[in-house]
Amino acid sequence: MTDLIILPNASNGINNTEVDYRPDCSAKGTLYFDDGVSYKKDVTKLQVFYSYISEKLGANSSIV
Amino acid sequence: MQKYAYHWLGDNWSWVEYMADSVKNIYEYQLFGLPFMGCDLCGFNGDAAGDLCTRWHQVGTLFPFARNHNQNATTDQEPYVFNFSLPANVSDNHSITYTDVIRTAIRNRYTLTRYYYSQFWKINEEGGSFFKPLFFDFGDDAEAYKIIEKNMLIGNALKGSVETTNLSKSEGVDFYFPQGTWCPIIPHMPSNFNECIDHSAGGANKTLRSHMEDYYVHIRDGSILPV
Repeated sequence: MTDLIILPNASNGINNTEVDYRPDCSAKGTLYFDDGVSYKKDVTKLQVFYSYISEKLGANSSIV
Repeated sequence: MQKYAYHWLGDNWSWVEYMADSVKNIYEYQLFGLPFMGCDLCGFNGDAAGDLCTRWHQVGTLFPFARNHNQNATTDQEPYVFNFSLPANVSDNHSITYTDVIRTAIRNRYTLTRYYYSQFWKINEEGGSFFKPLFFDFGDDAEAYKIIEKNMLIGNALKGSVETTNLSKSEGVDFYFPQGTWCPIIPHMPSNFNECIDHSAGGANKTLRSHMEDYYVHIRDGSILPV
């Protein structure tokens, strides 16, 4: 099991290109996993994006 | 070669000066395009004492490639060799041993294995560097070019702060934290967000205790860290 430690910031949203809105704060990271056994590794790339939005219908956060 | 190989810094000596230099030398290899780089922890030539070997493990477990390696004509330097209490000149905690401190450092590295693995793959695919001085990411900050042997960036998300020039205990060593918010991961795994360093207004030194058991890793704001 993999846990994620997320430390968002406000400035990250300015340069963010993963979403078409600007969140109040956000964080991003990249994880790679492989099957751990094969010579030619079966690697999966996972890009994780966390955002927090406080406007409109109320505060909410999401992890993509 | 730069994409697939690793390298080490050659036959160094068990001197504190070589420990500090190993940090800077690994930086250099990032420029050469060899990110997977390390040195002989505790030194290859000469006899390593417990304090030097312990601190070298602490900073060394942050290196891309971490390996204790020794010449056969010198005294043993495996972590279990130093299983005696920390003396008064390096710590106030005499209930733990050098071996305990080294064990903690190695466990911390393994806790970060997923992060290390991901960063290495990212570099393999995209290029870049893993173990780098602060000015690599904060090039407009003149302070980021100073005291580079004590302040290091570890991939995109982490900053290491290790006293690599002095082994005696100190109640206050200045480490530089550039602009941003930095929250401790080590020694507070997974984290203690009450002790974050808020430098959102600009970079500044942060004074931290440096006893033998003390070294620090902080997560950088805007990051997601797998553990």
